[in-house]
Amino acid sequence: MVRKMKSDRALNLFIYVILSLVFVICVFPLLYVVSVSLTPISEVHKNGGFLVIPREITLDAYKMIIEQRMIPQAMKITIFITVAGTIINIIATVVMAYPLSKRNLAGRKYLIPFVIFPMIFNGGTIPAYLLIKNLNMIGTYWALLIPGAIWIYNLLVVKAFFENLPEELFESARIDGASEFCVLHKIAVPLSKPVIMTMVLFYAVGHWETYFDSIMYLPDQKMQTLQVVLRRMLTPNVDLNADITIPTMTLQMAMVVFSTIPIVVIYPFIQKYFTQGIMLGAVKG
Amino acid sequence: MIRVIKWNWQYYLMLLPCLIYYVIFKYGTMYGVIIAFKDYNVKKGILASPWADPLLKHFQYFFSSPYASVVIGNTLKISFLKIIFGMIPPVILAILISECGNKWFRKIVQTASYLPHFLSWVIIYGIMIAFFSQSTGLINRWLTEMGFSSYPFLTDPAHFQAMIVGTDVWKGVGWSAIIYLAAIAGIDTTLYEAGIIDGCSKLKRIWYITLPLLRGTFILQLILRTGSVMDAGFDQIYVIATSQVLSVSEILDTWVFKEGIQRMNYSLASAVGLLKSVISLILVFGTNKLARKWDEGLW
Amino acid sequence: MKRKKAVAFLMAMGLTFSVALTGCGNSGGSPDQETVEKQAEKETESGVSESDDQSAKTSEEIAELELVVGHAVIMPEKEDNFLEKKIRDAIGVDVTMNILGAGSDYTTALNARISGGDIPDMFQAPSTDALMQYVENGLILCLDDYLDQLQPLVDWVGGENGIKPNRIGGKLYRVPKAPQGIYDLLVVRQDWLDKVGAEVPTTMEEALEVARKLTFDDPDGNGVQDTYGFSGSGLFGFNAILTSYGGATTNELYLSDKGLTSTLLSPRMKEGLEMCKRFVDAGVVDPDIVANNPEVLRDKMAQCKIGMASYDWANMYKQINWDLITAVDPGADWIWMNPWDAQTGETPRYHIKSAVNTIGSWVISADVADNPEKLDAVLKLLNYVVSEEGNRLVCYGEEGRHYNVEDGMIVKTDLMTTECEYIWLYQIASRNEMEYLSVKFPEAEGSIKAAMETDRIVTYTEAVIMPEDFHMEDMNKYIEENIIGFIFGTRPISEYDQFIEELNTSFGFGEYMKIAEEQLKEQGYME
Repeated sequence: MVRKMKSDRALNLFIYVILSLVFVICVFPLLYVVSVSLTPISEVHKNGGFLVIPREITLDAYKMIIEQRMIPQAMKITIFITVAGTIINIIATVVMAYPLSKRNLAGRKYLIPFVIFPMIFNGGTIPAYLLIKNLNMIGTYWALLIPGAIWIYNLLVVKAFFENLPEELFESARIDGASEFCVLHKIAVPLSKPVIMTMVLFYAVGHWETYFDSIMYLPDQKMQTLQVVLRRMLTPNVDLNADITIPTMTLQMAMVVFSTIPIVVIYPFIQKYFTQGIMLGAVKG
Repeated sequence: MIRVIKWNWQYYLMLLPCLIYYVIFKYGTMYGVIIAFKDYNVKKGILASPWADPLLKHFQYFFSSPYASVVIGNTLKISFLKIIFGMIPPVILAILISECGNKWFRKIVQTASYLPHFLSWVIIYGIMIAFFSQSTGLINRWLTEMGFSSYPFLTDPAHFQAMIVGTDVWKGVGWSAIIYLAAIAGIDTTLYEAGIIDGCSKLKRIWYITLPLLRGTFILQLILRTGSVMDAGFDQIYVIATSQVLSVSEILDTWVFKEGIQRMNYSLASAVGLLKSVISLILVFGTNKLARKWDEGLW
Repeated sequence: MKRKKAVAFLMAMGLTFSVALTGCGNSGGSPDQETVEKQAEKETESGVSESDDQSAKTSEEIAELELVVGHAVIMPEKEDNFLEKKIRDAIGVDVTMNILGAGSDYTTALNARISGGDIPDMFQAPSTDALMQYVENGLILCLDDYLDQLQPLVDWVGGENGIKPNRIGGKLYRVPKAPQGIYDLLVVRQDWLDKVGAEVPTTMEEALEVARKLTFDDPDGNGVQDTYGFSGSGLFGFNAILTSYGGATTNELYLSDKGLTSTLLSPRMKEGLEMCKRFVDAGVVDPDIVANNPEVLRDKMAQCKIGMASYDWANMYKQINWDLITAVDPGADWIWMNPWDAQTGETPRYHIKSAVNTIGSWVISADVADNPEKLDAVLKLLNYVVSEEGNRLVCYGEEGRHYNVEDGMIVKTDLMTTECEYIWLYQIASRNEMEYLSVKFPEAEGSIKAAMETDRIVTYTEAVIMPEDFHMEDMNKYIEENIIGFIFGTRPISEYDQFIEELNTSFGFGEYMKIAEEQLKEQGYME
């Protein structure tokens, strides 16, 4: 239909070459991680500490992780935190970003610096702990869900995206008498799927990696998140103690694979939204 | 005019819960910065702790350190190198991925490129040893097999900062590209169709349609990056730096960690934190002002 | 019509929120709710086990203690914690051990808790600096007033002499504990020595020669020169050389015949550095020695890259580690050596050993003193963990299950390895080190003994507390940077005196030595 140009072909070639290069640079070290996690440590050493294709495969390291009695519980908790937390995050972020994106919002000049300021200034861990304590959130999962409900960085990204949507789209809806909530729900959100899905990813990964808040706010060992349990299996102690054994490279790498895979599998679902461009024309019509 | 007020009423209704959240959780803890001007006493708490005498005691302590200038210099240098080398590759990668015709190839490359983000610095250090260690690393083994002498990639101060920036770019490029991919996905496809009908080459379409539309996202990222210019990457440097490269690896955060946090001197840590924040604030406002010239500021 | 939709959207939002809410309520539960539940459980439990009329009374009498540590250890759930159950049965104290992260996370989390007024009844002091801060704020119970009630503990550490290393500024805030061993050990591969025709070195010159052979004479016989004569884990590795010269890679205070001195001021420090530099210049030292950590070094040893090393017995001779080290080459025969003699007339010594107990000491909240029941519980617990029964429990677990006594000797069972990985946390006053280690790691007994008997420089560095405005970390950093410079040749050793002068003028090293002397005299470590 459309005539292919010579320069396009050269460009395509260039794209494939560069992307292949990126692929190799990113995948080679990862392949190493996976291989080491599957290989008995003695095999790794026989290969001088480096291997890409394991000759002998063992699942011992993975077995050790799965058999750890706290893992299933921690996994359930972390999935719950991730799902519930992300839902709260997305609603809060979108609802706040939308009005901030409106150039005719009264007081916007002051509101936006007000919103950005805490990104640069914060009071540190101690006042944060006192606040959570005074709100009676210590020992509850609220402490992991509410204080981080909005990440300023993500808020600004969503706000910027909303700003780029042409105002005429909203205008037509408003003429029909729609409220702003309705405009947000019916027009802004569907058009912003790529960025909202990106935020889902960013927030979900953030929750999945919850570590320090879990230690701080959940004194009950039964309530700890996955990362806390994994790090306990992984961290060799700073002061030498005969009772502690340094984990082998195999176990360390297996741990990485184990904790990364669940979050990696959501990616294809999100990727879907990146490949479809948006047809503003369709909405306009 | 009346309509504007009517909308604003709805906007503020939307903002209200979030603003309350902001006041409580973001501003409600901000009084903590006054630790910088106090001799913090754990039992008395922040408010009841006595004021430092002199008031700027902890700031003076930092500036009287023989390492103060080295530490600030290293922080700025590593940060700026990370911004310079870290800002452009994600844009290029995102454009290449979105322009790649083969759906499967595109998906695989994208997934692969964002995976390094999930590796902690401890693991990355393990990988770096496997590749770059002078005695056992793969690259040095290749070098010696080819007749060259081995090279201390990890312990030579001359190249340490390059290693830091390089691994940071490697870890972050795919992840940062996601934002741009989302932005590209948000571009009205009719624009491209118009371009194709006008007979624009792919390169021209990228240049005249995609890039200008990514400018806003890019500038947003740039402003946010300058806001954290005083954070040169504590986790990374803390894990990767050895004492052999101290002179080029010590940054504000590692200094504070050893002097302030490990020794329980929270006032000192807070003073340096405040210093960092003030510099970041100036930079953010400065970049924003600059960006407004292109009509792309944050506010 | 449109308004309806907006309302629906709002309701949907509200619904999602409330779903999230109930989700939280279900699996989280507020702390009050949980304690209530626990209380109820406890009551039914004691109701079952005790006779009816006593049950109410006992559940009141059980004092609860919260112990907090900062280690990367996985604890069992409270119901499965046999140790806490046993302690409760034995002394009627309900101990709960909580972990607050490890390393610096522990310090941060602990401080946040303390600032919030939740001071644990007992906790491990993260560092001497931290402990000093707590003491200044009146948070820590001074044990001097209770020593008469802690006779078993006093006897356990060996009277006042055993208590002294636990004092800080002359006062007893740390729970006194029995001294723990130093694990560092100098090791060499005997099979490689045989191959290159060398003997175990006893002097520095011999060590250098042996290192040369182990580097250049292809001890692994693979035809490639890929081995290093000497390695270690971090800069500390060079203590294998320096301490025999009365020096060290760090500033350490010790007593010589001329009174208090620092390793940096040792008259032979320069000779020591020259010797280190000769090793480096000969190309026999692992170039990554400073970057190595114990794990990396272990891997390198396993890969047959290292001939001699400054390491420790635990990372080598514990079965699990030994299996790793000998996995590639089952013939790898690592043996330990005596410290190398510098032939300067001084006793050869290897590494340093602190005269002060600082690491992993427990402290008690001052608030405990206001609660007679808690105080009583703490004292009971301290005396219990040093009693024969109690100490065995926290060291070896349950008799008949985790260990058996055969001819008066304790022999571990397989269950000890699988079920007791966390119980050492409860060794509040430490343990009988030699007996403990040989029971737990019988395979390493020889090396443990060798590490204990090695001559070391006994240091008092940890007993000195510098004022807050002294740039201690900066000074240590400058020392480290320059020692590396001297050893690796980026700064000529002829400038060593100048370096000491710089320390005096820019970092107040002279002042530091003066303060140190005063404090050590005050604490009775020197006259």
